[in-house]
Amino acid sequence: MKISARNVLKGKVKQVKAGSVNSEVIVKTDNGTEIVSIITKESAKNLKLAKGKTAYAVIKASNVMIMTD
Amino acid sequence: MVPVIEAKKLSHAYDKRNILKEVSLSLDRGDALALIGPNGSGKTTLLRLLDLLERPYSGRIYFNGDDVTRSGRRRLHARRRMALVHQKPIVFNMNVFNNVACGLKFRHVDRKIVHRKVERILELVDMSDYRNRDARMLSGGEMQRVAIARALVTRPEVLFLDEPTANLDPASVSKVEDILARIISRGKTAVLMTTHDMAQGQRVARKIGVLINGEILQIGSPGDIFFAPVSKRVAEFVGVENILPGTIVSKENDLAIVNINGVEVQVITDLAQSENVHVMIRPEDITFARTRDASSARNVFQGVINRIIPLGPLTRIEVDCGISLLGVVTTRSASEMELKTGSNLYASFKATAIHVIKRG
Repeated sequence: MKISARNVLKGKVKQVKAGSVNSEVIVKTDNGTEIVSIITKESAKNLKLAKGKTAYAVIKASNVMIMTD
Repeated sequence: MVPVIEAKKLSHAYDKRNILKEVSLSLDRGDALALIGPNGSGKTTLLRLLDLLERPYSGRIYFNGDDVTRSGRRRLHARRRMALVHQKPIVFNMNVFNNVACGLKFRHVDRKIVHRKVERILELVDMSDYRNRDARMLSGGEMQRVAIARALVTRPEVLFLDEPTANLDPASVSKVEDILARIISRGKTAVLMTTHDMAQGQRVARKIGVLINGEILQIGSPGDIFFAPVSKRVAEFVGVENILPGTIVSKENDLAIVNINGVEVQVITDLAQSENVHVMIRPEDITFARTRDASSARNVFQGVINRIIPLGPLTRIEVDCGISLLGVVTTRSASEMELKTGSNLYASFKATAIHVIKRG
């Protein structure tokens, strides 16, 4: 996968929760971090996303917000 | 709650040229509104009307619920409760302390109280160490801080600032912005500032108003203004760079297909089928890839790189996919992917990242 996004996190699908148009997909990385994604229901179906399937969460560097305590 | 200051349908003209058209806005105590707009959009005129330096051609101004549009006595009373900081800092030919003290001296405040108040305000603007310096010998940024201190020392209920950082170097700009953020967070004053720097509006104020050609086109949170502009004019001003005209050709639930010059883009919208629309895609929401991999992004288009424009840490990539798309990637990504003008590339973006407005 050669993509411009700086963050490509490999994990397994933990949950796919379908809404009316969008689905909420939770990807859990190997070290336990959970990443929540909102994608269209159609896309979740096309990618055959289901619990346990290996997937990559892709986040552009410009979309990452940083906060401190 | 009665707003501290309220404008209702203010219009103004110079030499029969309309400068402001039915501008309405209101601020409560503790509110901060940044008016952004290009040069000549009427920002300064609006501040001069609200600060009661000029009378509007039509419309009304209320200060704590009192109509102060016309009556001279009421205007004077209200003006004493307001302060205006100008774009070009104004300081008097005296030391910093006396510059700040002058509003209090005009009001015949007791000397001990003057001393205490001035010292406290100088601390707020980080100018305590400059108290005995000749104000005219200060740098532009320091002068502006003195001007802000002088405006604040009388505890105005409304503080107006007209492009307060327009002539300052970047370090002074961030210093002044810090001070403004401090004043706003104290919540005692309503703050209305103008700026032509949208990013500054976002950094300093919780609410932004877009003033273009004398009209307020949108007031909202920075998120509303930047990610959901109500019109093409607002979108262009706030820097949305992919604004594509198209027509909704099909719709199922809220997932619609917009035909843009023969290219079909999938979007989420509540607008109806056959509506003419503008589709807006922010450059930072576009991701590029060499190959077409399975992805959740609804929109993946193959194109040819037209132009690569490096801008420090970020690089702008212009791709022709039948529609022209501008994307932003880190310069590091651009070099790792060995992007070159004329080469093929896939551009992808999520249906949910797109903002759609009616056209026409």
